[in-house]
Amino acid sequence: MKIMVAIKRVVDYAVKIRVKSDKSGVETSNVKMSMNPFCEIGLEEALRIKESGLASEVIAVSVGPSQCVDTLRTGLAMGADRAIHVEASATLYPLSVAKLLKALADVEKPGLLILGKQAIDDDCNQTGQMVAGLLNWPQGTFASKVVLDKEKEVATVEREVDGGLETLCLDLPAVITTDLRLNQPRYATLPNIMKAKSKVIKKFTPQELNVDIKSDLEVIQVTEPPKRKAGVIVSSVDELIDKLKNEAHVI
Amino acid sequence: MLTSRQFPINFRTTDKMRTEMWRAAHRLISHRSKNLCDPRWNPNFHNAIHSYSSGFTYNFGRTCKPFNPYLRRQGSDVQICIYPTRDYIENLHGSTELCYGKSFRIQNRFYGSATTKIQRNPIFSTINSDDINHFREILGEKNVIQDEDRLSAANMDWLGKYKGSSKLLLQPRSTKEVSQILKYCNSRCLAVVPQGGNTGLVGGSVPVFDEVIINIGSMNNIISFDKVSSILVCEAGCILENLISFLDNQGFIMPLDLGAKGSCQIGGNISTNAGGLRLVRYGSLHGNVLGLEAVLANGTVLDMLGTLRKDNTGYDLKHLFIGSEGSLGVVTKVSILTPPKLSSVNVAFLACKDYLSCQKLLLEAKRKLGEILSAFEFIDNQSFNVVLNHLEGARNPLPPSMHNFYVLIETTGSDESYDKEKLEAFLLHSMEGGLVSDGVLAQDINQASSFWHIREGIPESIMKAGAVYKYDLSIPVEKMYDLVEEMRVRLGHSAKVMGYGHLGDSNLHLNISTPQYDDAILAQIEPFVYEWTSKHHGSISAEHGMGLMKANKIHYSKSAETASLVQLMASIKKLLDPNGILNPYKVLPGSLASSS
Repeated sequence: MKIMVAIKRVVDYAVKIRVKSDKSGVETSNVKMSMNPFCEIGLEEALRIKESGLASEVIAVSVGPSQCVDTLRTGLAMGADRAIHVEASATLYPLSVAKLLKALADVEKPGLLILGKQAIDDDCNQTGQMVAGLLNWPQGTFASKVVLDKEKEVATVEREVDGGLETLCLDLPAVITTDLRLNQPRYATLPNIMKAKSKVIKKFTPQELNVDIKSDLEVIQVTEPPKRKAGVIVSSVDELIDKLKNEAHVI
Repeated sequence: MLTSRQFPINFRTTDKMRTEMWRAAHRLISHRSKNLCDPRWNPNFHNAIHSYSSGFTYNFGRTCKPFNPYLRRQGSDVQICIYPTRDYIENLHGSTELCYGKSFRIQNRFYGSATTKIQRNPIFSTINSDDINHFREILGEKNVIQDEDRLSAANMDWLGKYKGSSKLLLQPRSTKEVSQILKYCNSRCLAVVPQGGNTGLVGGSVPVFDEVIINIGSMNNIISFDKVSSILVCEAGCILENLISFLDNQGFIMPLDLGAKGSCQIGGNISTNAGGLRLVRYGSLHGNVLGLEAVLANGTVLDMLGTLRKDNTGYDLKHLFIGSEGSLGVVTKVSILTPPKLSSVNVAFLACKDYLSCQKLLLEAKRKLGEILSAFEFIDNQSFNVVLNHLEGARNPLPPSMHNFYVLIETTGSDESYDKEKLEAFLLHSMEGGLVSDGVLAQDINQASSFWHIREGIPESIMKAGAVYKYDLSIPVEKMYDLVEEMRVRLGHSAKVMGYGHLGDSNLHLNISTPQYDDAILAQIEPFVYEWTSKHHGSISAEHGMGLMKANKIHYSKSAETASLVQLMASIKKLLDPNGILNPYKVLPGSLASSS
């Protein structure tokens, strides 16, 4: 069984984000980019499944500009067997990515498609669900535990939901999106980095996959949230009441 | 609500005991809430990283739990507490008088030998109520502190080894106030101790007897920052980490970085000529400090606060104050050159099978990585074990096997792909050559921080493991680890000997960990360590300074043949501080530094 893992190249989570002066988006030039943390967790899970003997191959997939190759190399250094890069320079929204992933899944026919639950740059939390809908596959989102049963061809997924934990049993092939507590990703060791250099990264374009990536969404403006105002120390109860009444309008 | 079940005492308590328990608990709670919530209590809280607001629980002897990092993305701009700030540990010491002895894992037995031999110099006066009133007039009521709890924290150093008995803590807010205080103290012959973040490791920042503590923590304004010349001018009480954050917004960094950055203040860094993790790249403070303002013992303000990159007019006096450990003057303002923040930072954590490989790796790194090398640290097996066992959130990057030596290499450059390629090529080449047996390369900032967490967390972890004897030595690279091995043979099973440090600067941090402080073990260590270092023409204090711990030991690194050097130092001290009131009993040998 093959496992396909979708990974995204995003601004490193530890970087302080700045909005561009023309408010068209977030400053991404000269800023450290790395693999989305949830995608890392997804890839780690795929590698663990492979190491336990239940899968034969892990394929890392990324959609985006040419620099995505760096992120795919990291994925290969972690242990993925091969990678696929869909080159697209325009900004892609979840639906376009989902369509591209569907096209790739039709080509590769994996038994499991793993994604991160959301990307830390747009926080959409949509791609996994959309691709499951397009493929008509069952989905287990916000997975905090995944157990595969090869003979019965099912995956038991424990999901983290608001009320607690929900356990689902999914028929394979299925889509799983990973949550934080699923596992702790491994580091890329030097021997693996060496091996990764010889692994294959296949390139596709959206045209080759017959996918229309034109989006129905357009970002008009990006602004920073309003800065927190400093607290004010009031000198008496009367002043407090006055402020609550006249300034904050809560009483 | 604390119940009697939570006290480690027999449940059958008498009324008296119960009242005592209640009083102790009440004191603990009020002490705790004051120190956590009231910024006016702790001199350093106001500017320390805001760790307390993020779900931190006050656990005796334990560090705060690493806060879930991903929640940070959801709009909260609260800083994460990754290391406990030094003032938190200080406050812990403040509560040792209470009955929770068993819960504290930090040893704070008074470190005997060095201080018991010193006598309080009779020429120093003792404080009386007139002095207090005078200080109150200069500083205002709030900044003249005689409260026991706060004094207790200020009297004890970070290691818990040195405890003074000062009865007065002053917090000036401006250079003028510092000048007035010192002028008065000089006229009354009152000894003083300048204090910053109190993170020093040689007892230089705490009183020996009843010296007045002058804490500079309230002078924490950033005065100016010029982006074009990249010169930062700020007051001496600014906490290093705050300066780093401020400069981060401007696209620059501080030229020094150390594990204590959450609490140490720049005035203290300069007074001790702190080295730190990036010295191999940015050089020492002597090169980066362009000017400073200091106040002499008699209140004279020396304005050497130039912001010029080059100024060859007359003798460059500021260098006297850099590294003088507060014994020549109190630093109140600094102007420092800041390097630009480069975007591409890569960190690799490597394993080597022996010390010789570490040395060769250093040479190779300097040659192959050249201009992008920004840190080169080595950690031996024992230190690594201590960190894994005692540091919360530490994760072994190279499981499952344990290696003999670990090296952390950091590169900083302006081009991500070029640097990564260079580093990868260097690492793979080293691996093929057998210098490196295994290693990992950080793929994002989070992984890089976790590697640094291990290295920066060593001193803290060793503290948790029991009592520790710390030595900071500059020894030629080839010989460095021989000392560690000799100490192991010498001490056998009675102690654990650990060596780690800035291999790039030939700086070894030798730490000897024992379950408790034991004079017999100390006798085995000193003066052997100093003699050994002296024999190899090393320095007994590479970056930590002399403080109280090594005050009488300068001859190990300034030998008898150069005794005239030490005499000259004493003359300079006499010239700038005739009454010897600034940080007495420290830095220079008592016989020379006394003013009689």
